[in-house]
Amino acid sequence: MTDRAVCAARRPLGARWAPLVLSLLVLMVLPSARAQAPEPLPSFEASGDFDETANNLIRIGFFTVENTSLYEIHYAGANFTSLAERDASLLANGFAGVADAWVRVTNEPGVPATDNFRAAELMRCWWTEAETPELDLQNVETLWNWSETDYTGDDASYVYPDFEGTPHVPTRATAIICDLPGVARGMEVWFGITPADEDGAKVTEGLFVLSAITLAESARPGDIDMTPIIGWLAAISLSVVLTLFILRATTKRRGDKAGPLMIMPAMLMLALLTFYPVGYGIYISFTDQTASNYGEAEWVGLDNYEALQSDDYDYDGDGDPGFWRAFQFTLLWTFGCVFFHVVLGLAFAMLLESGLIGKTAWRTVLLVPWAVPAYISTLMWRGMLNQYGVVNELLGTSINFLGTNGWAKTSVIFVNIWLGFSFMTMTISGGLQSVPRNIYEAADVDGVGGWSKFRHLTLPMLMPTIVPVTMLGFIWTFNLFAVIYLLTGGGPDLYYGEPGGTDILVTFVFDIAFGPNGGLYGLAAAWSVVILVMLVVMSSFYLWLTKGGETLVD
Amino acid sequence: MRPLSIDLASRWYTPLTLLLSKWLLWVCLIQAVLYVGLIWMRAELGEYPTVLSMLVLGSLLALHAVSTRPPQTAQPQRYVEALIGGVMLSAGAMWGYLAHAASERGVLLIDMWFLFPSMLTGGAVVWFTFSHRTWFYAEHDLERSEAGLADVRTKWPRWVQLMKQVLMVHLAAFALLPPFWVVLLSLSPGNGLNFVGPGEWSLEHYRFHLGGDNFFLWLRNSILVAVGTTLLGLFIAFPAAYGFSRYRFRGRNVGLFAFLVVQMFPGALILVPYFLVMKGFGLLDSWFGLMLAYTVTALPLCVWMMKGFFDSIPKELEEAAIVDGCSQLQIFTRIMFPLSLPAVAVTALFSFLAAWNEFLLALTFLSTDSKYTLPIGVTSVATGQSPQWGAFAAISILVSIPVVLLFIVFQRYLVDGMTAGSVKG
Amino acid sequence: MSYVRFEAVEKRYNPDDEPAVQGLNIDVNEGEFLVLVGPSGCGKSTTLRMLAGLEDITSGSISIDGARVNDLPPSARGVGMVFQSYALYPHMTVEKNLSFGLRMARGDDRLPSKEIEARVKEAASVLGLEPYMDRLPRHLSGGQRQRVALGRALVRRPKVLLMDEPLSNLDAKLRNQMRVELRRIHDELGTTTVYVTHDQVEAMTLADRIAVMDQGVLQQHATPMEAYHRPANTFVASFLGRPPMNLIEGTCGDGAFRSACGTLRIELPSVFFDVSGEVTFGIRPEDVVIVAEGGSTLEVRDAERLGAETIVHLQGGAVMLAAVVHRPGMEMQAAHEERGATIGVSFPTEAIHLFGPDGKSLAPHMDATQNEVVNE
Repeated sequence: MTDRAVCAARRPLGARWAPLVLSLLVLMVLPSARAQAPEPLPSFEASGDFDETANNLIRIGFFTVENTSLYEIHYAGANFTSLAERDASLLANGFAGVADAWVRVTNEPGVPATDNFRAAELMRCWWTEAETPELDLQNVETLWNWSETDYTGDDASYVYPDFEGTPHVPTRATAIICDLPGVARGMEVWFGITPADEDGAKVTEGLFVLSAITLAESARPGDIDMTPIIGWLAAISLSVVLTLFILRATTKRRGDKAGPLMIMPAMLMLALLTFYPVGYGIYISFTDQTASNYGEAEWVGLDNYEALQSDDYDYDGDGDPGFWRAFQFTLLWTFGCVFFHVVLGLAFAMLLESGLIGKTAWRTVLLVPWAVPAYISTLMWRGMLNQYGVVNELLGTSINFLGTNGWAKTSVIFVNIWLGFSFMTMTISGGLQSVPRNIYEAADVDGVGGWSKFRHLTLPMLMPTIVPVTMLGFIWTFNLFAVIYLLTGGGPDLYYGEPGGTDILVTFVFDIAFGPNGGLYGLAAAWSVVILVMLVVMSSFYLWLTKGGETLVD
Repeated sequence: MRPLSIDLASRWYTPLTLLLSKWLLWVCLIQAVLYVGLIWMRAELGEYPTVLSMLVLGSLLALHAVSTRPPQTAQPQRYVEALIGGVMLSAGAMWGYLAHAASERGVLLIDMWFLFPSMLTGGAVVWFTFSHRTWFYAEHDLERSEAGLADVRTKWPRWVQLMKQVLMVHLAAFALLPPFWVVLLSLSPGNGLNFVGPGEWSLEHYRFHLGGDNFFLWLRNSILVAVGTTLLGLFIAFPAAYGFSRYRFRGRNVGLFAFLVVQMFPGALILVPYFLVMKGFGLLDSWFGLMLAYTVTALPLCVWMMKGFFDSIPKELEEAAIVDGCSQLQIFTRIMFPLSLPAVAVTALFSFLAAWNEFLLALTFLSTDSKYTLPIGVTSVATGQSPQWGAFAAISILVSIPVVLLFIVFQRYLVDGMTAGSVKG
Repeated sequence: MSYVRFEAVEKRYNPDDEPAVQGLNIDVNEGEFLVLVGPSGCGKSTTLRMLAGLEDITSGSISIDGARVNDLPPSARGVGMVFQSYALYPHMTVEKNLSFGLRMARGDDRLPSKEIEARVKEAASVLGLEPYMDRLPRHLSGGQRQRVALGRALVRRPKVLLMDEPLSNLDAKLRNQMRVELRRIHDELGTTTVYVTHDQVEAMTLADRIAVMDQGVLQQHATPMEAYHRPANTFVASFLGRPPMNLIEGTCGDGAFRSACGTLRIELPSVFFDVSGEVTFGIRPEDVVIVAEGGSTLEVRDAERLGAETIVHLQGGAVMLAAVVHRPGMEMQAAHEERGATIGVSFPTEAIHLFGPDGKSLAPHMDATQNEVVNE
């Protein structure tokens, strides 16, 4: 880790720049104040609660410029003197996909940030209105005012594909210090700051470029906290002892008494950690529980349920509060995925079972999409579908698959199809093996054509395999969170309080509850209850269809 | 009852080459349509209108010419149709190829993939048109067949096998593209999305992870959580499954039903109350809480799978043991457990993998970098303001390879287990 | 003109392997019931499948009703087939099973549904399936399933009906019943039938003509009685008949046969006076006569009393012989049933068979009137 002079002051002309320039010069020239030269910040070891956030932060500080309503902060991996250069270096140095950061100067406060445990995602901002501010990067939390994050974006171009909110800083601020999260470790990053006015025009001609290095390693993890391990061992030993005790106890009491005793631990656990939370969730849905009033929630009856429908949450003013949009896409997503899963699975299974040479080898190859953990595959596709990624390269296009509404929906469904077709192929392949082969010869003698053989012989005999798997797949896909979250985070056009382009019901609920401007647990619980009701309906249908009840009565 | 006499001589058959060309033409038509889509995606539709229409029309014409229903004598216009269709197809493809070659972008691999088969098929159709042998269902072909001079059907299987292998290669490419890309990326220096050839490969990303602390931290956390989940789950599920299987008691059906329903609960729905409950217990940012949550999630599956297995062990075994004077505990340890080892192994495998790959609960519960399990850790590498693609690629290889190997070794059990657990309830 | 004709048909699975069927020449007349019989692996099923169109023909040709069918798919040949495992469609009722092929026909072959119904009804009544029309195959007994399989083949009004060991999955009593049934149906419908079995009893009782095969080669093609009384070689001789024909190795000369071990010396009929050298002597057990005095002397090893007949196993030196005594009567102990007893047997001349070193029959039993073909 090397210390490095951070400021590369540019040569702006004009009186407006004077304060800024002077301050920066002062910072460079006066070595006494540590705050002069913003040093690369040793991220993790800093004081206090700083270490709760991720350790890949860079903190930058700069003085405000008059008549600015928006500061744009551009990242790059190499030094640059113009934005065009920076775009070029973006690609070359592997910063593809990075979003710029913004700080908005306005007197309208944003929405309060809740005690969001994922504060690392937030771009935190401090400001001061002191006449002669000191850029004390280390101690800014205690010295300066904290800015509230704002999630509403008036202009479509300032909406993020990720979850960062734009901090608001009042117009009277004279200096700003920002935490820029999510930067790679051990990298030297250059930042350019352009102030822009209300119309979006650049306030100055030039560009301020600063650079900093993030810490190469994470902090020492510290001594291993032994408590959880002890707890772990205790839980296991306890359950072993319990089991043995139960077994011994039931020796004496064979018969009907033994049964309930044996299932006791499992049922207890289920009750405690499933049924109780479900009940609690239903209870919360009738309160106004949020992250900030934890412990002081009040009963509000059906307010949360009404809110799903009401216009209060129609932030983009298009008359659509979002529930139905999310629901529509959920249906499209579910049907689309399941349909292609079944069709592709069927087609490939038939191909595999049709006397293919090297079938076992091909099966092993086909295993890979299923074997690779889903989150890894999804992230792989996220990289591949990037605007500068492999898919675009192969096809010769340059489409922003994950950032354009229509394409995002298609891509999300496509990725899920890729994730799931392999399992379906294996299952149907297994089902096909139990279809007797001699009936096809009999059909040959009967003069039955290929398609008829498939439709009247193969398909009906595969129904016992396909139907349950399809139904389960339907329920599973309806509530599938990880794929959409990791690919698009809910999709383009992400406004606060409304579902984005690829939001399905569960991802939107997650946003409401745990998003950067969420924490509305009551509302989220209400949504969950609604989805739960849908789930119960679907499950009952599945149980009825496969006569699941029969298996219980054996 | 006299058998109805069937005039064998008038029965038609499909010449091999004709069937082949028909299928190839269908492939060409589909490819032409997809190609239109690709050109549209590139927003270059207006630059290739002639090429695209020639491809589509050519294949349609040729298909129509080939699709005559028998019996039919040779009709001159069919020959002409086939000829024109074939010429349009191959000329269009050739033209498209040349147009690409002349453009800035040059000819990409995918353009070749679309155009090449059309070129060949169109040429084949033209060639067939000029060869009498097997084109249309004229009587003289039937005579030739009678005389044993027609194509014998035994030649068919080799062609079909070849086409099947071609299809499988495509399928394999589809399935393996992401892992392949990730391997390349993990060996390419830099954290961007571009990858380099073998000459410039470097192991820097692997060194980054294996030399740093984070990977091992996350690995340790994941192992603790997954192993804990498996053991805890098995120990709790084992007697429960046995109880459900062997005993009848009031509330048994209710209990089973409860497990069945809960098995279909996705975690997303009870996430909020889960979160609050864990917060209340103070278990929020720890993998112990996570482990408990996972165990509960895995419990129904374990119970169902093992119950199904116990159901299949005949009661006589235990009765014989009781006659021999064993206590319940001994029955368990000496008989049930050894016998049920395969089911236990499969259940353990499932629980372990489920806990190892679980994403949502970990994301919600954990907020400290050092407490992350692998899924969240890997995600943090790949997302954020500046995703480190190279590092992500390396860590995903490190994480995936053991899992994939496990899958390959145990694939038979996994498929059976999944279907048993879900299909048979 | 024969209705089904095999000409030099050969089947090889691999170019390097032994052929499964070679040099086959068989013809079947219209309305005839031909049984292909032989031990397992002799190529009879392969032959049937080649006729059906389910196997390719390596060389040679097969024609049905004068038309060469080598390249035709099964449905175009006018055949109906009953599989050994019945191959019923498990998820369809009996009625659907019967009508499936007809319903799936396309184009010119499509029959109006009234006609399909009529044919199904007809087949059902001929086979006695009316009470079961709505049942699924798994709810039927073996015999019922077999009849459904037969019905499925018959609704097509095939030119040739093919049956691949249809009775082998049934128990003995049912088998006997079905044998009678099959014969009755054949007589009623008059369909040309080719039937494959390994059971020579079925062959003898059902066939108009039988074709005996062994290791892919046709051994004899004649009526059952022909093949029984005038077997073309030792294989056919020992294959047909229970208990099998006694075959004794030995030499021939001066109008007499001497067994190899020297125990037996038998006078031969005049027709064999020219024969000399190594031969195999054959005589059927039921033709062996037990005489009170004279003849060859042999020792009784064992006697199997079946009630209607007793099979006596005799031995003389290295020669083992079986003799059948019909209607032995109720006496507990007859001379010929006592172990260790010596009795005399004689061999009526008209029942003597002689086979050369290559196994082929030495008797000029070929009659120009019989349409018999023996492989070289």
